Amino acid sequence: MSHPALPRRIACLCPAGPLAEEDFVQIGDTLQRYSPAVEDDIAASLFYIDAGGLNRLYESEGRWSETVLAAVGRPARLGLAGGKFAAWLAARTVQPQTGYQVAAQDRSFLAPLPLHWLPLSAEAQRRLRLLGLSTIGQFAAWREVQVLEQLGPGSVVAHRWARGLDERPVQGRCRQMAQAYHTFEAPEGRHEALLEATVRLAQRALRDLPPPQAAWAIKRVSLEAILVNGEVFRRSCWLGAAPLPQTLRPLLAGMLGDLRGAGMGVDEVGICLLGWDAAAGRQLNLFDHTGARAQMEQTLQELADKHSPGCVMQADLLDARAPLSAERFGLRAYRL
Amino acid sequence: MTQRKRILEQTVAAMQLRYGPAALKRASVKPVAVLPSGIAPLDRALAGGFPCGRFSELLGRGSAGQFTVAARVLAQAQQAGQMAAYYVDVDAAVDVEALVRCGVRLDLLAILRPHGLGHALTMTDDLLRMGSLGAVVFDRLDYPLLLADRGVLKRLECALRNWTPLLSRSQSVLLFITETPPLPCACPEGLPLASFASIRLAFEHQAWLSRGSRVVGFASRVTVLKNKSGPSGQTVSLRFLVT
Repeated sequence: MSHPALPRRIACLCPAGPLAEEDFVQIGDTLQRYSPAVEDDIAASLFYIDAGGLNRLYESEGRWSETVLAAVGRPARLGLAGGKFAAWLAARTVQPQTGYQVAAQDRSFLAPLPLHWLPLSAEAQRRLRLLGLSTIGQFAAWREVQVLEQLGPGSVVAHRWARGLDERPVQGRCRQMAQAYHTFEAPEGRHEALLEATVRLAQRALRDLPPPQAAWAIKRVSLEAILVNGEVFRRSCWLGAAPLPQTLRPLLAGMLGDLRGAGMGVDEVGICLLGWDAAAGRQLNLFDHTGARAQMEQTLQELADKHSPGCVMQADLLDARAPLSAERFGLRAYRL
Repeated sequence: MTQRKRILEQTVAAMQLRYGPAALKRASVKPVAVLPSGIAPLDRALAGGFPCGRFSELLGRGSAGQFTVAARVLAQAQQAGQMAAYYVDVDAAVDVEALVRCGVRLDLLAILRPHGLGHALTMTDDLLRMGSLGAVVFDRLDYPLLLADRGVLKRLECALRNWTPLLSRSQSVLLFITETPPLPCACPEGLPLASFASIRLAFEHQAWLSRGSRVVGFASRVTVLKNKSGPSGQTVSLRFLVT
Protein backbone atom coordinates (compact mmCIF):
# COMPACT_ATOMS: atom_id res chain seq x y z
CA MET A 1 0.00 0.00 0.00
CA SER A 2 1.29 3.48 -0.75
CA HIS A 3 2.14 5.91 2.03
CA PRO A 4 -0.98 7.25 3.78
CA ALA A 5 0.20 10.81 3.22
CA LEU A 6 0.05 10.35 -0.54
CA PRO A 7 -3.26 10.87 -2.34
CA ARG A 8 -5.07 7.61 -2.98
CA ARG A 9 -4.79 6.59 -6.61
CA ILE A 10 -5.91 3.21 -7.84
CA ALA A 11 -5.63 1.81 -11.34
CA CYS A 12 -7.83 -0.90 -12.77
CA LEU A 13 -6.46 -2.98 -15.63
CA CYS A 14 -8.82 -5.12 -17.71
CA PRO A 15 -6.92 -7.34 -20.17
CA ALA A 16 -8.87 -7.98 -23.36
CA GLY A 17 -10.04 -11.41 -24.39
CA PRO A 18 -10.15 -14.68 -22.49
CA LEU A 19 -7.09 -15.37 -20.35
CA ALA A 20 -5.63 -18.64 -19.13
CA GLU A 21 -4.69 -18.74 -15.46
CA GLU A 22 -1.02 -18.85 -16.40
CA ASP A 23 -1.36 -15.65 -18.45
CA PHE A 24 -3.11 -14.04 -15.54
CA VAL A 25 -0.25 -14.89 -13.19
CA GLN A 26 2.24 -13.59 -15.75
CA ILE A 27 0.44 -10.24 -16.06
CA GLY A 28 0.33 -9.99 -12.26
CA ASP A 29 4.08 -10.55 -12.11
CA THR A 30 4.62 -7.85 -14.72
CA LEU A 31 2.42 -5.34 -12.89
CA GLN A 32 4.32 -5.87 -9.67
CA ARG A 33 7.31 -4.22 -11.31
CA TYR A 34 5.31 -0.98 -11.54
CA SER A 35 3.49 -0.87 -8.22
CA PRO A 36 4.06 -2.07 -4.65
CA ALA A 37 0.57 -3.59 -4.42
CA VAL A 38 -1.32 -5.48 -7.11
CA GLU A 39 -4.63 -7.18 -6.42
CA ASP A 40 -5.88 -9.71 -8.93
CA ASP A 41 -9.48 -10.73 -9.37
CA ILE A 42 -9.38 -13.77 -11.59
CA ALA A 43 -13.16 -14.18 -11.55
CA ALA A 44 -13.69 -10.69 -12.97
CA SER A 45 -10.51 -10.93 -15.07
CA LEU A 46 -9.05 -7.64 -13.87
CA PHE A 47 -6.33 -6.20 -11.68
CA TYR A 48 -6.36 -3.35 -9.19
CA ILE A 49 -3.04 -1.58 -8.85
CA ASP A 50 -2.03 0.84 -6.12
CA ALA A 51 -0.78 3.86 -8.06
CA GLY A 52 -0.43 6.37 -5.21
CA GLY A 53 2.56 8.65 -5.73
CA LEU A 54 3.80 6.82 -8.81
CA ASN A 55 3.16 9.80 -11.09
CA ARG A 56 6.21 11.45 -9.53
CA LEU A 57 8.39 8.66 -10.86
CA TYR A 58 6.85 8.70 -14.32
CA GLU A 59 6.27 12.47 -14.79
CA SER A 60 2.52 12.01 -15.07
CA GLU A 61 -0.18 9.45 -14.49
CA GLY A 62 -0.76 9.21 -18.24
CA ARG A 63 2.88 8.35 -18.76
CA TRP A 64 2.73 5.69 -16.07
CA SER A 65 -0.40 4.22 -17.67
CA GLU A 66 1.31 4.06 -21.07
CA THR A 67 4.32 2.36 -19.54
CA VAL A 68 2.19 -0.24 -17.79
CA LEU A 69 0.11 -0.94 -20.90
CA ALA A 70 3.29 -1.36 -22.95
CA ALA A 71 4.76 -3.72 -20.35
CA VAL A 72 1.64 -5.91 -20.27
CA GLY A 73 2.19 -6.53 -23.96
CA ARG A 74 -1.37 -7.45 -24.85
CA PRO A 75 -4.55 -5.45 -25.52
CA ALA A 76 -5.87 -4.07 -22.25
CA ARG A 77 -7.83 -1.13 -20.87
CA LEU A 78 -6.62 0.86 -17.89
CA GLY A 79 -8.54 3.28 -15.69
CA LEU A 80 -6.97 5.45 -13.01
CA ALA A 81 -8.96 7.13 -10.25
CA GLY A 82 -9.08 7.71 -6.50
CA GLY A 83 -11.15 4.62 -5.64
CA LYS A 84 -11.67 1.13 -6.96
CA PHE A 85 -15.16 1.73 -8.33
CA ALA A 86 -14.20 4.88 -10.23
CA ALA A 87 -11.05 3.17 -11.54
CA TRP A 88 -13.09 0.20 -12.73
CA LEU A 89 -15.59 2.49 -14.47
CA ALA A 90 -12.75 4.50 -16.00
CA ALA A 91 -11.36 1.25 -17.43
CA ARG A 92 -14.76 0.14 -18.67
CA THR A 93 -15.51 3.44 -20.41
CA VAL A 94 -12.07 4.06 -21.89
CA GLN A 95 -11.76 5.15 -25.52
CA PRO A 96 -10.25 2.31 -27.63
CA GLN A 97 -7.70 4.56 -29.34
CA THR A 98 -6.05 5.72 -26.08
CA GLY A 99 -6.26 2.52 -24.04
CA TYR A 100 -6.33 4.37 -20.75
CA GLN A 101 -8.36 6.99 -18.93
CA VAL A 102 -7.35 9.10 -15.95
CA ALA A 103 -10.09 10.45 -13.66
CA ALA A 104 -8.76 13.45 -11.76
CA GLN A 105 -11.74 13.70 -9.38
CA ASP A 106 -13.87 10.63 -8.76
CA ARG A 107 -17.13 12.45 -8.11
CA SER A 108 -16.97 14.73 -11.14
CA PHE A 109 -15.88 11.80 -13.33
CA LEU A 110 -18.76 9.62 -12.18
CA ALA A 111 -21.42 12.35 -12.25
CA PRO A 112 -22.40 12.21 -15.96
CA LEU A 113 -22.36 8.41 -16.20
CA PRO A 114 -25.68 6.52 -16.30
CA LEU A 115 -27.09 4.94 -13.18
CA HIS A 116 -26.97 1.37 -14.38
CA TRP A 117 -23.25 1.14 -13.59
CA LEU A 118 -23.97 1.36 -9.87
CA PRO A 119 -24.32 -1.91 -7.93
CA LEU A 120 -28.00 -1.33 -7.14
CA SER A 121 -30.76 -3.90 -7.18
CA ALA A 122 -33.20 -3.93 -10.09
CA GLU A 123 -35.93 -2.65 -7.78
CA ALA A 124 -33.74 0.24 -6.59
CA GLN A 125 -32.87 1.12 -10.18
CA ARG A 126 -36.56 1.08 -11.07
CA ARG A 127 -37.46 3.33 -8.16
CA LEU A 128 -34.71 5.79 -9.09
CA ARG A 129 -35.91 5.90 -12.69
CA LEU A 130 -39.48 6.54 -11.49
CA LEU A 131 -38.15 9.42 -9.42
CA GLY A 132 -36.59 10.89 -12.55
CA LEU A 133 -32.93 10.13 -11.85
CA SER A 134 -30.77 9.06 -14.75
CA THR A 135 -27.14 9.82 -13.83
CA ILE A 136 -24.83 8.86 -10.99
CA GLY A 137 -24.36 12.55 -10.20
CA GLN A 138 -28.07 13.02 -9.54
CA PHE A 139 -28.06 10.03 -7.20
CA ALA A 140 -24.91 11.31 -5.46
CA ALA A 141 -26.69 14.62 -4.74
CA TRP A 142 -29.10 12.78 -2.43
CA ARG A 143 -28.47 12.79 1.29
CA GLU A 144 -27.70 9.46 2.93
CA VAL A 145 -30.91 9.67 4.98
CA GLN A 146 -32.92 9.90 1.77
CA VAL A 147 -31.16 6.84 0.35
CA LEU A 148 -31.92 4.90 3.54
CA GLU A 149 -35.56 5.93 3.48
CA GLN A 150 -36.16 5.29 -0.20
CA LEU A 151 -33.95 2.31 -0.99
CA GLY A 152 -32.98 0.75 2.31
CA PRO A 153 -29.54 0.13 3.84
CA GLY A 154 -28.45 -2.13 0.97
CA SER A 155 -28.01 0.91 -1.29
CA VAL A 156 -25.88 3.02 1.03
CA VAL A 157 -22.62 1.56 -0.28
CA ALA A 158 -23.58 2.35 -3.88
CA HIS A 159 -24.45 5.89 -2.76
CA ARG A 160 -21.06 6.32 -1.15
CA TRP A 161 -19.35 5.07 -4.31
CA ALA A 162 -21.45 7.48 -6.36
CA ARG A 163 -20.12 10.30 -4.18
CA GLY A 164 -16.58 9.13 -4.88
CA LEU A 165 -16.17 7.64 -1.40
CA ASP A 166 -14.84 4.18 -2.11
CA GLU A 167 -12.37 3.39 0.66
CA ARG A 168 -11.67 -0.21 -0.33
CA PRO A 169 -7.89 -0.69 -0.28
CA VAL A 170 -5.85 -2.58 -2.85
CA GLN A 171 -5.10 -5.94 -1.25
CA GLY A 172 -1.62 -6.56 -2.55
CA ARG A 173 -0.81 -10.20 -3.01
CA CYS A 174 2.19 -11.83 -1.41
CA ARG A 175 4.60 -13.40 -3.83
CA GLN A 176 4.57 -17.13 -3.21
CA MET A 177 7.93 -18.58 -4.07
CA ALA A 178 10.02 -21.44 -2.73
CA GLN A 179 13.40 -22.23 -4.25
CA ALA A 180 16.48 -24.40 -3.78
CA TYR A 181 19.84 -24.49 -5.57
CA HIS A 182 22.71 -26.96 -5.80
CA THR A 183 26.25 -26.50 -7.13
CA PHE A 184 27.96 -29.64 -8.46
CA GLU A 185 31.55 -30.28 -7.46
CA ALA A 186 32.31 -31.32 -11.02
CA PRO A 187 30.19 -30.50 -14.08
CA GLU A 188 27.37 -33.01 -14.28
CA GLY A 189 26.12 -34.12 -17.67
CA ARG A 190 24.31 -37.39 -16.91
CA HIS A 191 20.58 -37.09 -17.32
CA GLU A 192 19.70 -39.50 -14.47
CA ALA A 193 21.97 -37.72 -12.01
CA LEU A 194 20.54 -34.32 -12.96
CA LEU A 195 17.03 -35.67 -12.64
CA GLU A 196 17.74 -37.10 -9.21
CA ALA A 197 19.32 -33.80 -8.11
CA THR A 198 16.36 -31.70 -9.33
CA VAL A 199 13.82 -34.02 -7.68
CA ARG A 200 15.68 -33.66 -4.37
CA LEU A 201 15.90 -29.90 -4.85
CA ALA A 202 12.15 -29.76 -5.43
CA GLN A 203 11.59 -31.71 -2.22
CA ARG A 204 13.90 -29.31 -0.39
CA ALA A 205 12.02 -26.31 -1.78
CA LEU A 206 8.75 -27.87 -0.70
CA ARG A 207 9.85 -27.68 2.92
CA ASP A 208 9.33 -23.90 2.74
CA LEU A 209 5.59 -24.41 2.19
CA PRO A 210 3.31 -24.35 5.21
CA PRO A 211 2.57 -27.90 6.40
CA PRO A 212 1.02 -30.19 5.26
CA GLN A 213 3.00 -29.81 2.03
CA ALA A 214 1.10 -32.51 0.16
CA ALA A 215 -2.09 -30.49 0.49
CA TRP A 216 -0.86 -27.67 -1.77
CA ALA A 217 -1.17 -27.54 -5.53
CA ILE A 218 1.92 -25.88 -7.02
CA LYS A 219 1.07 -23.54 -9.87
CA ARG A 220 4.36 -23.32 -11.73
CA VAL A 221 7.71 -25.12 -11.56
CA SER A 222 10.70 -23.33 -12.93
CA LEU A 223 14.11 -24.93 -13.56
CA GLU A 224 17.36 -23.04 -14.03
CA ALA A 225 20.72 -24.61 -14.88
CA ILE A 226 24.04 -22.88 -15.36
CA LEU A 227 26.06 -24.70 -18.01
CA VAL A 228 29.83 -25.08 -18.11
CA ASN A 229 30.16 -22.42 -20.77
CA GLY A 230 28.29 -19.92 -18.61
CA GLU A 231 25.01 -20.10 -20.48
CA VAL A 232 21.84 -20.23 -18.47
CA PHE A 233 19.28 -22.86 -19.36
CA ARG A 234 15.75 -22.00 -18.18
CA ARG A 235 12.52 -23.94 -18.46
CA SER A 236 9.21 -23.26 -16.81
CA CYS A 237 6.19 -25.51 -16.66
CA TRP A 238 2.65 -25.27 -15.34
CA LEU A 239 1.95 -27.99 -12.77
CA GLY A 240 -1.34 -27.14 -11.06
CA ALA A 241 -1.31 -30.25 -8.87
CA ALA A 242 0.00 -31.53 -5.58
CA PRO A 243 3.81 -31.93 -5.72
CA LEU A 244 3.86 -35.71 -5.33
CA PRO A 245 7.06 -37.51 -6.43
CA GLN A 246 5.20 -39.40 -9.18
CA THR A 247 3.98 -36.04 -10.57
CA LEU A 248 7.20 -34.12 -10.19
CA ARG A 249 9.60 -36.68 -11.63
CA PRO A 250 8.15 -36.94 -15.17
CA LEU A 251 7.68 -33.17 -15.28
CA LEU A 252 11.31 -32.50 -14.37
CA ALA A 253 12.48 -35.26 -16.72
CA GLY A 254 10.64 -33.54 -19.55
CA MET A 255 12.20 -30.18 -18.70
CA LEU A 256 15.67 -31.71 -18.50
CA GLY A 257 15.08 -33.52 -21.81
CA ASP A 258 15.77 -30.27 -23.69
CA LEU A 259 19.09 -30.01 -21.89
CA ARG A 260 20.19 -33.42 -23.12
CA GLY A 261 20.63 -32.06 -26.64
CA ALA A 262 23.03 -29.36 -25.44
CA GLY A 263 25.62 -32.04 -24.67
CA MET A 264 27.26 -29.97 -21.95
CA GLY A 265 27.82 -30.41 -18.25
CA VAL A 266 25.91 -28.42 -15.65
CA ASP A 267 27.66 -26.46 -12.92
CA GLU A 268 24.64 -25.37 -10.92
CA VAL A 269 20.98 -26.27 -10.96
CA GLY A 270 18.04 -24.60 -9.22
CA ILE A 271 14.35 -25.26 -8.78
CA CYS A 272 11.75 -22.59 -8.11
CA LEU A 273 8.15 -23.30 -7.13
CA LEU A 274 5.90 -20.33 -7.90
CA GLY A 275 2.45 -19.87 -6.40
CA TRP A 276 0.33 -22.44 -4.59
CA ASP A 277 -3.29 -23.06 -3.81
CA ALA A 278 -5.16 -25.75 -1.92
CA ALA A 279 -5.02 -28.97 -3.91
CA ALA A 280 -8.31 -30.53 -4.95
CA GLY A 281 -9.62 -32.91 -2.30
CA ARG A 282 -7.20 -31.61 0.31
CA GLN A 283 -9.02 -28.44 1.27
CA LEU A 284 -10.20 -29.80 4.59
CA ASN A 285 -6.62 -30.05 5.78
CA LEU A 286 -5.88 -26.49 4.86
CA PHE A 287 -9.11 -24.75 5.66
CA ASP A 288 -9.07 -26.00 9.21
CA HIS A 289 -9.12 -22.63 10.95
CA THR A 290 -7.58 -20.73 8.05
CA GLY A 291 -10.67 -18.55 7.60
CA ALA A 292 -10.94 -17.74 11.29
CA ARG A 293 -7.22 -17.14 11.48
CA ALA A 294 -7.14 -14.76 8.52
CA GLN A 295 -10.06 -12.85 9.98
CA MET A 296 -8.36 -12.70 13.36
CA GLU A 297 -5.12 -11.45 11.79
CA GLN A 298 -7.02 -8.64 10.09
CA THR A 299 -8.87 -7.72 13.28
CA LEU A 300 -5.67 -7.71 15.33
CA GLN A 301 -3.86 -5.60 12.76
CA GLU A 302 -6.62 -3.00 12.86
CA LEU A 303 -6.68 -3.06 16.67
CA ALA A 304 -2.88 -2.74 16.86
CA ASP A 305 -3.00 0.17 14.40
CA LYS A 306 -5.64 1.98 16.36
CA HIS A 307 -4.40 1.26 19.87
CA SER A 308 -0.77 0.78 20.77
CA PRO A 309 0.72 -2.54 19.55
CA GLY A 310 1.51 -3.43 23.17
CA CYS A 311 -2.20 -3.65 23.89
CA VAL A 312 -2.68 -6.52 21.46
CA MET A 313 -0.78 -9.62 22.50
CA GLN A 314 -0.39 -13.18 21.40
CA ALA A 315 0.82 -16.07 23.49
CA ASP A 316 3.58 -18.47 22.50
CA LEU A 317 4.82 -21.74 23.87
CA LEU A 318 8.46 -21.05 24.76
CA ASP A 319 9.68 -24.23 26.40
CA ALA A 320 7.26 -26.98 27.38
CA ARG A 321 9.78 -28.53 29.79
CA ALA A 322 10.73 -25.36 31.64
CA PRO A 323 10.16 -25.63 35.41
CA LEU A 324 8.43 -22.27 35.81
CA SER A 325 5.12 -21.39 34.20
CA ALA A 326 6.47 -17.97 33.17
CA GLU A 327 9.23 -19.73 31.22
CA ARG A 328 6.88 -22.16 29.52
CA PHE A 329 4.62 -19.55 27.93
CA GLY A 330 5.30 -16.01 26.86
CA LEU A 331 3.31 -13.06 25.63
CA ARG A 332 4.48 -10.92 22.74
CA ALA A 333 3.06 -7.78 21.17
CA TYR A 334 1.16 -8.60 18.01
CA ARG A 335 2.84 -8.02 14.69
CA LEU A 336 1.83 -9.29 11.29
CA MET B 1 -56.06 -16.41 1.99
CA THR B 2 -58.50 -14.79 4.35
CA GLN B 3 -59.77 -11.27 3.80
CA ARG B 4 -57.92 -10.02 6.87
CA LYS B 5 -54.61 -11.52 5.70
CA ARG B 6 -55.04 -10.02 2.23
CA ILE B 7 -55.64 -6.55 3.70
CA LEU B 8 -52.51 -6.94 5.82
CA GLU B 9 -50.43 -7.96 2.77
CA GLN B 10 -51.71 -4.98 0.79
CA THR B 11 -51.02 -2.59 3.64
CA VAL B 12 -47.46 -3.88 4.06
CA ALA B 13 -46.83 -3.66 0.30
CA ALA B 14 -48.17 -0.11 0.16
CA MET B 15 -46.09 0.99 3.16
CA GLN B 16 -42.93 -0.56 1.69
CA LEU B 17 -43.56 1.06 -1.68
CA ARG B 18 -44.05 4.45 -0.10
CA TYR B 19 -41.38 4.44 2.60
CA GLY B 20 -38.92 1.87 1.27
CA PRO B 21 -38.44 -1.86 1.89
CA ALA B 22 -36.60 -1.25 5.15
CA ALA B 23 -39.44 0.77 6.67
CA LEU B 24 -41.56 -2.21 7.60
CA LYS B 25 -40.38 -5.71 8.34
CA ARG B 26 -42.10 -8.87 9.41
CA ALA B 27 -41.30 -10.12 12.86
CA SER B 28 -39.77 -13.55 12.88
CA VAL B 29 -38.46 -15.82 15.59
CA LYS B 30 -35.06 -17.25 14.78
CA PRO B 31 -33.62 -20.04 16.90
CA VAL B 32 -30.62 -18.84 18.90
CA ALA B 33 -27.42 -20.77 18.21
CA VAL B 34 -25.61 -21.86 21.35
CA LEU B 35 -21.99 -22.59 22.09
CA PRO B 36 -21.58 -25.38 24.62
CA SER B 37 -19.05 -25.02 27.40
CA GLY B 38 -18.06 -28.67 27.18
CA ILE B 39 -19.05 -29.15 30.85
CA ALA B 40 -22.03 -31.48 30.57
CA PRO B 41 -23.97 -30.58 33.78
CA LEU B 42 -23.61 -26.89 33.06
CA ASP B 43 -24.68 -27.27 29.42
CA ARG B 44 -27.74 -29.22 30.54
CA ALA B 45 -28.64 -26.45 32.99
CA LEU B 46 -28.22 -23.86 30.24
CA ALA B 47 -30.31 -25.81 27.73
CA GLY B 48 -27.34 -26.36 25.41
CA GLY B 49 -24.78 -23.73 26.23
CA PHE B 50 -24.07 -20.04 25.96
CA PRO B 51 -26.13 -18.22 23.31
CA CYS B 52 -24.30 -16.79 20.28
CA GLY B 53 -24.80 -13.09 19.64
CA ARG B 54 -25.69 -12.37 23.27
CA PHE B 55 -23.96 -11.34 26.48
CA SER B 56 -23.42 -13.77 29.30
CA GLU B 57 -22.15 -13.01 32.76
CA LEU B 58 -20.20 -15.21 35.15
CA LEU B 59 -20.42 -13.81 38.66
CA GLY B 60 -18.46 -14.84 41.67
CA ARG B 61 -15.40 -14.41 43.78
CA GLY B 62 -11.96 -15.85 43.13
CA SER B 63 -11.37 -19.62 42.86
CA ALA B 64 -14.99 -20.36 42.06
CA GLY B 65 -14.52 -21.56 38.49
CA GLN B 66 -15.52 -18.57 36.31
CA PHE B 67 -12.16 -18.48 34.57
CA THR B 68 -12.21 -22.23 33.89
CA VAL B 69 -15.70 -22.09 32.40
CA ALA B 70 -14.76 -19.05 30.29
CA ALA B 71 -11.60 -20.80 29.07
CA ARG B 72 -13.56 -23.94 28.20
CA VAL B 73 -15.98 -21.83 26.17
CA LEU B 74 -13.05 -20.28 24.29
CA ALA B 75 -11.68 -23.75 23.58
CA GLN B 76 -15.07 -24.96 22.38
CA ALA B 77 -15.39 -21.91 20.13
CA GLN B 78 -12.04 -22.75 18.56
CA GLN B 79 -12.66 -26.46 18.22
CA ALA B 80 -16.34 -26.79 17.42
CA GLY B 81 -17.14 -23.38 16.04
CA GLN B 82 -13.86 -22.75 14.19
CA MET B 83 -13.83 -19.27 15.70
CA ALA B 84 -11.09 -17.03 17.02
CA ALA B 85 -10.82 -16.45 20.76
CA TYR B 86 -10.21 -13.03 22.28
CA TYR B 87 -9.35 -12.48 25.91
CA VAL B 88 -9.73 -8.94 27.23
CA ASP B 89 -7.33 -9.00 30.13
CA VAL B 90 -8.18 -5.85 32.08
CA ASP B 91 -6.02 -6.73 35.06
CA ALA B 92 -3.08 -7.98 32.95
CA ALA B 93 -3.11 -11.20 34.93
CA VAL B 94 -4.16 -13.92 32.53
CA ASP B 95 -2.64 -17.36 33.09
CA VAL B 96 -1.82 -18.63 29.60
CA GLU B 97 -0.94 -22.07 30.87
CA ALA B 98 -4.36 -22.42 32.50
CA LEU B 99 -5.96 -21.45 29.19
CA VAL B 100 -3.91 -24.10 27.40
CA ARG B 101 -4.87 -26.68 30.05
CA CYS B 102 -8.51 -25.94 29.27
CA GLY B 103 -7.85 -26.70 25.59
CA VAL B 104 -7.39 -23.21 24.15
CA ARG B 105 -5.23 -23.14 21.01
CA LEU B 106 -2.66 -20.38 21.14
CA ASP B 107 -2.57 -19.74 17.39
CA LEU B 108 -6.22 -18.71 17.46
CA LEU B 109 -6.01 -16.72 20.67
CA ALA B 110 -5.49 -12.99 21.03
CA ILE B 111 -5.00 -11.31 24.37
CA LEU B 112 -5.99 -7.68 24.62
CA ARG B 113 -4.23 -5.76 27.37
CA PRO B 114 -5.97 -2.40 27.80
CA HIS B 115 -4.69 0.35 30.08
CA GLY B 116 -7.80 0.32 32.23
CA LEU B 117 -11.48 -0.42 32.27
CA GLY B 118 -12.38 2.55 30.06
CA HIS B 119 -9.79 1.54 27.49
CA ALA B 120 -10.99 -2.06 27.73
CA LEU B 121 -14.49 -0.93 26.80
CA THR B 122 -13.10 1.01 23.83
CA MET B 123 -11.05 -1.95 22.63
CA THR B 124 -13.98 -4.34 22.96
CA ASP B 125 -16.13 -1.85 21.11
CA ASP B 126 -13.61 -1.77 18.25
CA LEU B 127 -13.38 -5.54 18.28
CA LEU B 128 -17.12 -5.94 17.90
CA ARG B 129 -17.41 -3.19 15.29
CA MET B 130 -14.89 -5.01 13.11
CA GLY B 131 -17.53 -7.70 12.83
CA SER B 132 -15.18 -10.55 13.47
CA LEU B 133 -16.70 -13.82 14.51
CA GLY B 134 -15.34 -15.24 17.72
CA ALA B 135 -15.67 -15.80 21.40
CA VAL B 136 -14.69 -12.94 23.67
CA VAL B 137 -14.01 -13.12 27.39
CA PHE B 138 -13.99 -9.83 29.26
CA ASP B 139 -11.97 -10.42 32.41
CA ARG B 140 -13.07 -8.71 34.56
CA LEU B 141 -15.62 -6.23 35.91
CA ASP B 142 -15.05 -5.43 39.54
CA TYR B 143 -18.45 -4.75 41.08
CA PRO B 144 -17.30 -2.70 44.11
CA LEU B 145 -15.02 -0.56 41.92
CA LEU B 146 -17.77 -0.01 39.37
CA LEU B 147 -20.18 1.20 42.01
CA ALA B 148 -17.53 3.59 43.29
CA ASP B 149 -17.08 5.20 39.86
CA ARG B 150 -20.43 6.23 38.45
CA GLY B 151 -18.77 7.57 35.27
CA VAL B 152 -17.44 4.15 34.29
CA LEU B 153 -20.74 2.55 35.22
CA LYS B 154 -22.56 4.95 32.90
CA ARG B 155 -20.03 4.24 30.17
CA LEU B 156 -20.48 0.51 30.58
CA GLU B 157 -24.23 0.87 30.28
CA CYS B 158 -23.84 2.96 27.13
CA ALA B 159 -21.37 0.43 25.68
CA LEU B 160 -23.68 -2.49 26.38
CA ARG B 161 -26.54 -0.69 24.66
CA ASN B 162 -24.35 -0.11 21.58
CA TRP B 163 -22.91 -3.61 21.56
CA THR B 164 -26.24 -5.45 21.61
CA PRO B 165 -26.94 -5.06 17.85
CA LEU B 166 -23.24 -5.49 16.96
CA LEU B 167 -23.02 -8.71 18.88
CA SER B 168 -26.25 -9.99 17.41
CA ARG B 169 -24.91 -9.34 13.91
CA SER B 170 -21.52 -10.96 14.45
CA GLN B 171 -22.94 -13.99 16.30
CA SER B 172 -20.04 -13.80 18.72
CA VAL B 173 -20.20 -15.01 22.29
CA LEU B 174 -19.25 -12.39 24.85
CA LEU B 175 -18.66 -13.56 28.40
CA PHE B 176 -18.14 -11.12 31.24
CA ILE B 177 -16.37 -12.29 34.36
CA THR B 178 -17.65 -10.16 37.21
CA GLU B 179 -16.02 -10.01 40.62
CA THR B 180 -18.71 -9.78 43.25
CA PRO B 181 -18.43 -8.21 46.70
CA PRO B 182 -18.21 -10.45 49.76
CA LEU B 183 -21.28 -12.17 51.08
CA PRO B 184 -24.13 -11.63 51.81
CA CYS B 185 -24.45 -9.50 48.66
CA ALA B 186 -23.17 -12.25 46.34
CA CYS B 187 -25.48 -11.55 43.41
CA PRO B 188 -25.50 -7.81 42.72
CA GLU B 189 -28.44 -6.40 40.80
CA GLY B 190 -27.32 -2.81 40.36
CA LEU B 191 -25.09 -3.51 37.36
CA PRO B 192 -26.36 -2.78 33.85
CA LEU B 193 -25.34 -6.28 32.81
CA ALA B 194 -28.15 -7.67 34.95
CA SER B 195 -30.63 -6.48 32.34
CA PHE B 196 -28.49 -6.87 29.19
CA ALA B 197 -27.08 -10.36 29.80
CA SER B 198 -28.96 -13.34 28.42
CA ILE B 199 -27.36 -15.67 30.89
CA ARG B 200 -26.13 -14.91 34.41
CA LEU B 201 -24.37 -17.58 36.37
CA ALA B 202 -23.40 -17.19 40.03
CA PHE B 203 -20.35 -19.20 41.10
CA GLU B 204 -19.74 -20.07 44.73
CA HIS B 205 -16.64 -21.78 45.97
CA GLN B 206 -17.63 -24.83 48.05
CA ALA B 207 -14.48 -26.72 49.03
CA TRP B 208 -10.93 -27.51 48.07
CA LEU B 209 -10.37 -31.01 46.72
CA SER B 210 -7.26 -32.69 47.98
CA ARG B 211 -5.47 -35.96 47.42
CA GLY B 212 -3.44 -36.68 50.51
CA SER B 213 -1.79 -33.43 51.44
CA ARG B 214 -1.93 -32.05 47.92
CA VAL B 215 -4.73 -29.77 46.69
CA VAL B 216 -5.83 -31.03 43.29
CA GLY B 217 -8.84 -28.84 42.60
CA PHE B 218 -11.96 -27.29 44.00
CA ALA B 219 -15.70 -27.78 44.05
CA SER B 220 -18.14 -25.02 43.17
CA ARG B 221 -21.84 -24.50 43.07
CA VAL B 222 -23.20 -22.70 40.01
CA THR B 223 -26.65 -21.14 40.07
CA VAL B 224 -28.40 -20.02 36.91
CA LEU B 225 -29.64 -16.60 37.99
CA LYS B 226 -31.06 -15.70 34.60
CA ASN B 227 -31.56 -17.48 31.30
CA LYS B 228 -33.54 -15.74 28.60
CA SER B 229 -33.78 -18.82 26.42
CA GLY B 230 -34.44 -21.45 29.04
CA PRO B 231 -35.41 -22.07 32.62
CA SER B 232 -33.44 -20.38 35.36
CA GLY B 233 -32.97 -21.18 39.01
CA GLN B 234 -31.18 -24.52 38.65
CA THR B 235 -28.09 -25.23 40.66
CA VAL B 236 -25.31 -27.54 39.58
CA SER B 237 -22.27 -28.68 41.49
CA LEU B 238 -19.04 -28.75 39.53
CA ARG B 239 -15.66 -30.17 40.41
CA PHE B 240 -12.67 -28.49 38.78
CA LEU B 241 -9.53 -30.59 38.87
CA VAL B 242 -6.14 -29.07 38.16
CA THR B 243 -4.24 -31.68 36.18
